[in-house]
Amino acid sequence: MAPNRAGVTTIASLRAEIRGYEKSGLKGAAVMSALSRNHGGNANRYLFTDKHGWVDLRHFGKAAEMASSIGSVTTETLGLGNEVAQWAAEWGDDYRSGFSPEDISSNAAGAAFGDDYMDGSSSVSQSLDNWLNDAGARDPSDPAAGTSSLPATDPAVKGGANRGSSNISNSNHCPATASNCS
Amino acid sequence: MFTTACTQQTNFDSEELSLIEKEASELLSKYPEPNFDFEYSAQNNIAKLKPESVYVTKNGLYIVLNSGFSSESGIYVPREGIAVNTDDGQDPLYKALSKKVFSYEIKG
Repeated sequence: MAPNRAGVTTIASLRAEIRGYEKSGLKGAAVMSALSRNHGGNANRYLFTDKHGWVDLRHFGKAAEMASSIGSVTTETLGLGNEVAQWAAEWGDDYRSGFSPEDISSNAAGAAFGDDYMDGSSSVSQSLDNWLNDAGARDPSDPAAGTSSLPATDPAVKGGANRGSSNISNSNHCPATASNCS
Repeated sequence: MFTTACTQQTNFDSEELSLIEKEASELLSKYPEPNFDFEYSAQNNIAKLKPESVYVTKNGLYIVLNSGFSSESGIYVPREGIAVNTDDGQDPLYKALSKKVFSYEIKG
């Protein structure tokens, strides 16, 4: 899966989701696991930040969950391994997801969040607010996010904009404000 | 260590599927809102699958049989009124096991 206009989300939506998990009694890594699990589909999946470009909340949540216990370096290595394995296993598939443009940067963003922002002394909501500010999060309605340059729907779907592949061999959708892609 | 979904059991007879559907419906009624941390051991036929985890979203109940970094696969039972797209080449990919029980695979 890769960023697309149907799958973008807002800062308020992400904040509300995290607050909801905390309200239900989840804490720390469990909050981030829930965030990842709740974004298996395209709905509200991508948030734009100046620092990381489009962040995939499924990858971000999983990496943060893991990094809060095993650290960011191991988490990013496992994330990279996952992309390699996915790339190899998908050869010839209708749907190719390995090395989607935002996967690696979303893993890195989540790993940094889990390792550096989730310190256990404050709520995940408070940590998230700090991260959103530091990362330069923007709503999709902000022209600087470049939402209009995204494909309308998931480009990795067979017959979609990228003919069944979301990976880096296809055109990247990278707004000028993002610092991690060209 | 690479993390991708492994082979899992998705061959069930109609009686097993009916029991899974019944227990899933009970859980979906009990948890109308998304819930990622609840007890399901009383649901014997779901517990018998030895899931890694079970959770509900606004769309339905997911019984996770295998998971990796961002990948995940298992059994899905939608909430009433939720349409499930079973077309090939999607993510998540759903396949009908019965009218209301599906296998699913998320590549992530």
